[in-house]
Amino acid sequence: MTSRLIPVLTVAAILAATGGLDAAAAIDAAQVITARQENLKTLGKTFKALREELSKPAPDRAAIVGDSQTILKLSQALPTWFPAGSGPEAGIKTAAKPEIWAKPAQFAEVASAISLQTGKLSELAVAGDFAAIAAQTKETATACGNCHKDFRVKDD
Amino acid sequence: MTEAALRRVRVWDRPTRLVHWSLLLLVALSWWTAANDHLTWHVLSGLFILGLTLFRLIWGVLGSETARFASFLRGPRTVLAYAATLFDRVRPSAIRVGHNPLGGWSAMLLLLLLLIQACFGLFSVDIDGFDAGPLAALISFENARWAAHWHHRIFTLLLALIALHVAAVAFYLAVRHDNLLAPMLSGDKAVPATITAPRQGTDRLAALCALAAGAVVVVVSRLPQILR
Repeated sequence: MTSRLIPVLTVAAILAATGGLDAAAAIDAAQVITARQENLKTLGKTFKALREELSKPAPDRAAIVGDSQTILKLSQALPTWFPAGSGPEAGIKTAAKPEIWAKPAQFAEVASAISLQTGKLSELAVAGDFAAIAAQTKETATACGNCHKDFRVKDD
Repeated sequence: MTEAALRRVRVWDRPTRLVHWSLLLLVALSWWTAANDHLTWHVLSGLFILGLTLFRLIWGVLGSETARFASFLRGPRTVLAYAATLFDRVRPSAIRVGHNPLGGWSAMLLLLLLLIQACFGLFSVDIDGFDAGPLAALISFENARWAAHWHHRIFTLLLALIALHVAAVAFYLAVRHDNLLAPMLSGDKAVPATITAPRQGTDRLAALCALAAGAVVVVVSRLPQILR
């Protein structure tokens, strides 16, 4: 009796535990995805503004520092925008590929490569060397693109 | 009428042929550079396409007889009557120079679609906000993304129209025994002596039109700097 009860109890315990985990990880997928998309749009918008400021004959240094700070802060927060359950399985339109959750180590790597580049970008912005900043925007865009290549659905 | 009664006349002038084949190469280049992330080259290629389509529009008013819109854009009745004879084999007496009533509209449609496509490209920005058309700086990120979205869509439409164009040329050769490709390469076509050779625009006039089109493209591409 006891020997038969143990596996049953074990299964029940596992079910309870995973159920409990599910409850703990439950997220408002719609809210997460919307917030993520807003943040990524802000990144694109800020990057566009930064590039346009740099292309002016006399760029505004304060604007460039501000933009690069916005980009830095957002890109550092980026890895937290993809909690489990906020992928395409949520049933909400998202360009996030399931690979983000299937290959977490690889995703973490490309994501941290982005904040490495945006870190350099903001340092150069503070230093005020416009030519160096412009060169660094290219490195940053490549880092963004590397993540999009593997983890974002191509635009239709 | 016998084959011997045919003579070769110039049906497509040099500028028209040059524009035609350059557009083919540049559309291929634009596709390749976009697919392989060479967006700087993509923008340049697009600006050349814009220039060539603008030139062709000017040349369609001032150029050689067969290049002029007035000579090949026909009314719906003519187009339908022509479409009804589409499967007939072309007898030498029915040989024509320039666009047929269906082909004329096909060429016009392709030209306008290329122009629209180039204009959407001018305002497009990529998802990172990094690569952008020269006029994206004039509009918001959201609107530039909207332009890029349509830039993608229109390309699909353009591919479909190009496929139709190529299929039509193959159809003319296979079914009507009318080789449309050779005249677009050499410029000449064998026609009955009864057909007068189309009047040709001069190379000097073409150069002036090209200069005008090029100037428009340079001004357009530098508009954000000019407006600053």
